[in-house]
Amino acid sequence: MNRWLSLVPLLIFILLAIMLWCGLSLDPSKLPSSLINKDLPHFHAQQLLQPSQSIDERDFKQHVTILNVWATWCATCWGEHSVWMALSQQTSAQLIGLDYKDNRDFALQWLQTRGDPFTNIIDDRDGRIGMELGVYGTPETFIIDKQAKIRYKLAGPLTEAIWQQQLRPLISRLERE
Amino acid sequence: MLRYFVLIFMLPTLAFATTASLQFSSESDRLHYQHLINELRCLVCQNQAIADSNAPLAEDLRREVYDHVIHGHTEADIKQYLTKRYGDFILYNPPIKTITYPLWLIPVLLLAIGAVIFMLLSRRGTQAPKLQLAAEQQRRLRDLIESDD
Amino acid sequence: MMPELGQLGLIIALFLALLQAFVPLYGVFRADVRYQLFARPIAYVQSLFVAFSFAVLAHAFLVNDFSVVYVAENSNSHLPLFYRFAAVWGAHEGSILLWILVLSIWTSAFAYCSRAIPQDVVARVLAILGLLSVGFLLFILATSNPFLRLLPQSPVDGRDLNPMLQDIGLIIHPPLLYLGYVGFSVAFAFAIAALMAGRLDAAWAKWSRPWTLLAWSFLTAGITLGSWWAYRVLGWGGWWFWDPVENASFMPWLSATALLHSLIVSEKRGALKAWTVLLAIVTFSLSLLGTFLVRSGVLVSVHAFAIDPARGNYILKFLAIVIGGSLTLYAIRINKVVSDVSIRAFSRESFLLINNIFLSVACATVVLGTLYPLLLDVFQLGKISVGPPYFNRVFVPIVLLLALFMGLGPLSRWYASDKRQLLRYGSLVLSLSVLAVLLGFIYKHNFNWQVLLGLSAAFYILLATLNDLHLRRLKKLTISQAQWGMYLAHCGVAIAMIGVALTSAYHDDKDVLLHPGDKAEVAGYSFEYVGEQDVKGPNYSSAQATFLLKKDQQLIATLKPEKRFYSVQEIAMTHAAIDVNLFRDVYIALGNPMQQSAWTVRLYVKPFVRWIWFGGILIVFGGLLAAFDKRLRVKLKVQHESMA
Repeated sequence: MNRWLSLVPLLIFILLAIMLWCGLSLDPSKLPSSLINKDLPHFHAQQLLQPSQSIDERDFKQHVTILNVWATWCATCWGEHSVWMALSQQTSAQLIGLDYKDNRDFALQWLQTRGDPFTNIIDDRDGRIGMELGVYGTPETFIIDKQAKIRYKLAGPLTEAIWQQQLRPLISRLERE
Repeated sequence: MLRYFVLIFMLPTLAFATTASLQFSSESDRLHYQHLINELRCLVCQNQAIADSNAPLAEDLRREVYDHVIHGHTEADIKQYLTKRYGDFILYNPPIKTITYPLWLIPVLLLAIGAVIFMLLSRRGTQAPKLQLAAEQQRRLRDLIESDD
Repeated sequence: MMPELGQLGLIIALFLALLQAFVPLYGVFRADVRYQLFARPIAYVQSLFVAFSFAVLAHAFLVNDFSVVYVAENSNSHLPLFYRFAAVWGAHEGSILLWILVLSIWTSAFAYCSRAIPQDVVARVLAILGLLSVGFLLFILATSNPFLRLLPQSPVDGRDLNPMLQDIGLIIHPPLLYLGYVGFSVAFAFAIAALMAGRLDAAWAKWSRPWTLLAWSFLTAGITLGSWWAYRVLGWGGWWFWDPVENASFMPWLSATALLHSLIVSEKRGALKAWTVLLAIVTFSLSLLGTFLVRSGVLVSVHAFAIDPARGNYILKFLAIVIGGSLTLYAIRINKVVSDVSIRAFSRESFLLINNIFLSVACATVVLGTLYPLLLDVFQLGKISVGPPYFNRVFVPIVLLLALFMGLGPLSRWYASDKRQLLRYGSLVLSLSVLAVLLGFIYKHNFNWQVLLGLSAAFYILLATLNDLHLRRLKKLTISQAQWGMYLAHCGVAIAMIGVALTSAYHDDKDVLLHPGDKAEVAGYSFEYVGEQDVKGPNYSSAQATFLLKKDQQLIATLKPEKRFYSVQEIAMTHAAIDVNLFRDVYIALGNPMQQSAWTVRLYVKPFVRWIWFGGILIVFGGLLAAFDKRLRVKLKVQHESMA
């Protein structure tokens, strides 16, 4: 009894050390989305290219969708853009952009000079839709299934490796669902 | 440093966002707003409340909170609205639920253990000073002291 | 050439530290005094080499030697001279070197001041300090070499010191904080030495006390200064954020405070010894844990350090060896070395025990709150934040309860006190304090529960302490220097509590958008924005706004907050302007620039905020008074002679 109690501090420390050891490999600034497996929130917005046309969550039904949140003021998005240009040819999913808190003229110019990989682009000038989606930085990428449920979120830029390892297998699985 | 990084990179957007010169219909609304923005975490910053951050996301969140406050929403409503989108991470005041029970209960438990230790020790002390406890009892008491923490 | 010599100095110091660790231990093992006597000279020489390396790094900063990577990354030829010196510890590598320097200062100080202590104890303590030096020297040489060079293509100029650090705070805060953290290594080494020797007597507690007090005073000073620095520099008027890095310094402070009090019980009554030893180990362990938390990047903090997983990895292994090793030793040896002593309720030792219970629970709570998000994350149970609302809700009640006993403790006597008298006296003082605060509310019409509790507790401590002092003088009892220290420190706590209670409850702030000529009002003060102008600093350019601060139409001050832009790092910094007096701070911080010289501005009025730091300073002086109590040292000599 007596022996065991004097071991308690050591045991607490061992548990603590194991926890810290596991903690070393985690990134504390990475946040999971709390919308995973939830329906895409209701929204209604203008299309960036045709402001007279609107887009809402119903446009996400029947397709597996990649929703990419970007903006012209976001330096990381410049690099990511070329990845999307290449991928848009390869994937069967519909690729929808969300232009987040941006200036429309800048955005149109960007698409003209760099190319437009998106099937459609949501104009989220005041960031309201971004907030509904829990966007906290750009770029962010959501994968949305045929029932318009959010299934996956990537915070930060898409790379070839992430595409091959995570997004592509997920999309083909969702296509079959 | 991220804070400044974000600030500089998002400079073009600063023009839309300012929550300065907010008008409140009552002093209690203003205090409610102040209270909330100090209890909500800026998600892109290095551990700052949205009240204290210049990051555009913090500005947006403040504006959102303001809109809710002037529409008379309660603290619980507003927090629920935000956690639905950003998760519990946004709350500096962790909600009381299954995974946070230990967080709230352990301090109480420790105080209780402390109280028990104190009572055991002082009960022994009130007995006649010459009277010695059995060695095993003494050890148990001593061990209880050691195991606290 | 010089930087290489600096590095060589560290390598030599490493070998000397190894000698310092093992030669005296061999002497103890063989009971051979000759080897034990080696401990002191080796410790001195080891410290000299560390000091030399530190001087070399400081020299590299002062002469702008940008071939040294660390200098190039943290300094600039336009950086003012004193910041160039302080930049030595402005980032990870140099601050570890400072840590090592401080450890060698403590080692030498102990070697010098330990003549009254038996040789085998000195040998053990110095050996353990040597082992710690080995760990940190290996760390710096293996993962964080500050002397790394970029040759032959060295940069023409440096990347500058992080602007956030370009403040008087950087010059004094880290050295004080490290003097505190590292200083606990002496009490730790005493505890381990006692466990190794199997001898835990009153002398052990007496020897540990001044060292613990001294380190604790430094840590208190470091934390107080850090709070003041963050208040000034971060630009949003807070003085404590319950941020992981702050908690990292607060955890060892709480456990050291408990240790100070339990050391007294162990010394005077020979009780609680097993607990005191554990506290000595835990206090230093928490210092090390703090280093790990700050530098490994497992937690997100506003006071960020450069982060490198390899370093976290090393520190964790080092922690495992030092803490794991000492707690194992503790588990094995403690039952053999401790004999039991009884404690009675209402005796002084019982009050000190209560103090220890509350401080330990408070400390455990801070550890829990700081690490809980990490725990959930590790088990993938979700991401949560534990912030000020949690800590305030849990911590404040514990402190209030503690305060209740703080008033009675000094009045009680060893072995047993008159229970009735003590309770009667306590309730009288408590009701007087509450009454005083209630009268204050009637006069000011601003009732607030937190203020009632906080102020009553503070008045209660002040009244009880001062009255106890008064009674002792009436009875012509001698009051030792250590006791004066205690009175001072307890009053410091009360004064800090007054500051915390009043500033938390009655602070006011407002975000406003002001054009030149606009006025705003906060808490009865009127702020008039006159205009802005550009100012050029040594290594920054700045937009400086001018405000007239008025109350009742009277001009009180002209305040000039700035937004500084540091061109090398391309960082904008808010430089707040503060009008200070004893009863309130008025604080202006510029937000974002708008069209036509307009600014978003945050205005604060913070009543009694200075009292927090003033209380902290009193605590520091109390600690220093007690640490340098001559009585302790004279008695040591006598004891030694009687032993010989």
